[in-house]
Amino acid sequence: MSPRREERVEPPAIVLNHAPGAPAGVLREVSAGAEEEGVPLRRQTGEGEAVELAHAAARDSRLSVGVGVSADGTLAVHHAQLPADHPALEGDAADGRRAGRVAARVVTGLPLT
Amino acid sequence: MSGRLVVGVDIGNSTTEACLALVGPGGEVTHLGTALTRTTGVKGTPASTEGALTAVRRVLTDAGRRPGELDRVLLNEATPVISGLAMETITETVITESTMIGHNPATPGGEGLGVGTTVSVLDLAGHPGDEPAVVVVPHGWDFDDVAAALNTAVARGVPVVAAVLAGDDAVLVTNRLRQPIPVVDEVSAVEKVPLGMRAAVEVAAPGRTIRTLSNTYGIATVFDLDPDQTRQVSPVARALTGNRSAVVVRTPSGDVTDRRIPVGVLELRGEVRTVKVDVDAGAEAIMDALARVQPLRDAHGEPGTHVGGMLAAVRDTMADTMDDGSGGAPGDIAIRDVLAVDTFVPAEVRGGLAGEITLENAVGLAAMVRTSRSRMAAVAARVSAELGAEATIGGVEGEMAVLGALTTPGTRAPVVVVDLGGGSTDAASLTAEGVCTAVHVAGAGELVTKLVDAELALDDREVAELVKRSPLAKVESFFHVRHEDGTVQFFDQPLPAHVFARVVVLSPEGPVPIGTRHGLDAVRRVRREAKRRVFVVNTLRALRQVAPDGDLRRLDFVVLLGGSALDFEIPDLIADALAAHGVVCGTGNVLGDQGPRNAVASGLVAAFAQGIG
Repeated sequence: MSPRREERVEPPAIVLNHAPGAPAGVLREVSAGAEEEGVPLRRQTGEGEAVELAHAAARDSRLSVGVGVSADGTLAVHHAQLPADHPALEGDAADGRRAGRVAARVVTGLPLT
Repeated sequence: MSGRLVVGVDIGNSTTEACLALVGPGGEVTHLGTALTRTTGVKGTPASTEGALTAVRRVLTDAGRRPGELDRVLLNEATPVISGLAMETITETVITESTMIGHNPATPGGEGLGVGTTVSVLDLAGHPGDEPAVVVVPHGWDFDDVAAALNTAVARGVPVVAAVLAGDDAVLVTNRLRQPIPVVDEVSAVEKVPLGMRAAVEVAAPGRTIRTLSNTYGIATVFDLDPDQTRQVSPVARALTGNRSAVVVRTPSGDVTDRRIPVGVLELRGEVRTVKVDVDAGAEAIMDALARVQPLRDAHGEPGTHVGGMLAAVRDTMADTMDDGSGGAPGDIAIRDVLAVDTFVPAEVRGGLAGEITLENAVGLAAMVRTSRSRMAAVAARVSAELGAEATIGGVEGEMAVLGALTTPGTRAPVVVVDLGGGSTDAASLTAEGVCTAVHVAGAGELVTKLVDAELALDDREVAELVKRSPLAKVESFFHVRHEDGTVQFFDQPLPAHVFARVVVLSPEGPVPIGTRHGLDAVRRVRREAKRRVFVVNTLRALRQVAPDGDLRRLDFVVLLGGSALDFEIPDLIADALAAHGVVCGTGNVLGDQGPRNAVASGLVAAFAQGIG
């Protein structure tokens, strides 16, 4: 068996990086936003503010796109090429669906709004 | 120092230009500089004095001269030509009884064709098990709940064949169904979908368009229609062509009609005869009628109709600007040329359930008004008082433009200049014998802007103006754009998120997004077609009027002047059209360094010098 087959490569996906206490409803909406646009998304947990979480997620993502959700539901969408303090979108708990959609559209190259 | 310091001033529709020169005793001219500023008010009216003074003061300052040294201000006899624009939609699509949904949402769910009876998701529990159901879901339903309700019904034995949703959830719902069905979403007025009616929902695979509901006989097959009914649904099929998804509901008298709006009759009064033409007959019929009555003395619209209102508005604007307080009636204001252009205007369908847009036919009209009154004398008096120098009105605009254009290297008489302006396109010809004729035709840069604005449904004149002036680009990532010629440009700073993946115009202030669903190629086509239909058509129209016997082959040199001659593609479009007639055509370069600008101002100075020499 070649060594390459043993390397487990992550399938390409948007990374949703959230604080452990992030509201489940917001995470569900973010996931739904990406799913409606047909782009895969996987979740992981991390510590920090929404923008930091999002930038870390974008760097982890093979699609270079991440969403960060903090414990209070504040959220951000980021791209790995963007400066750390310059997210593509910032929003609050009510913007979950939009954040998921925007993240997906950064991947698919469609206008964000 | 024996020379006389003179300044030529050209007050144009949109810009005022000045040309400062020293004229020696033998008539030899030394150019000292030029200046350009925006015209204040309407050209030829006292309000335009301000712009003229600004231009003169600017050129004096640049040359290091004082107003006191000025010997003479030379003003052009501004042709009192003002143009007005109007656009009237002449077709209208109306859906009655909510017969169809064809808004083409970005992400429909599932694929295939489902035919059944419309039933609200609220009543699904009581739906009989032998009747195929097209489920209608109102606002406020969560995708998990919708999927659960549909799965429950299917488990109970109800054949659920399709769904129509209010929210943007089609993919989410479809992904949670045990049996995949076509789902159309984002139907904003879903409560208007008639319930208990036969309906068909079709969603095509990604990258494809619907095949059944866009085909008249497809609809006939689905609903079992007789030939008369089939004839009636044919507009529905046409309206849905090119969509990825659609819904058709069979209601007793539902219909999609494509009716023509009566816009009114345009009456064209020529020298010898008068012709009446229906505006909703389209641009070609109007231009044919115009050709039959040439030369046009005046045009009137039927009172109480759209076209009547439009021509009255043009006349009133002219009357207001020419009003000198003497209370003179605007009766001597005549419409001397009309340019009609066929256009398409995206409009929301009346009776639509999801904000459907169709392309409606429209006619754009530019009308050129001419008056016998000129108020340049008042302007000259005020310029003279302000500057303390004698101001004279010299020469007709067209003749001056020819004199200025002849300072372009490589030109000689006989020559024709075409001034591509904002409101009108003007041509002036000078024969080898020194005979000058000038014509003005309606329609120029402002009509192009209006066509671009309407056809792209921008509803923003500023953006339309930008689209007209600059090449397009597509933002391909946060750091690079692809220009319309395919060249890629990278940026150091990330581009703002609101322009991501959009078609943009690169303005000096940064990329401006164009608010349209069209791709770059479609926007480019609209822009070039608008320019062709106005400037190429008008240049040919004007040249035919000044060419010997109307034969373009007998023209030698054509020099393009005016602000629109600076455009990045209009001169090329015109040159292409004229190449077939063997005409030498190019953009003027007045004084060898001014480009297509300053021709009239330079011509005024040249005419003054000829008078001395």
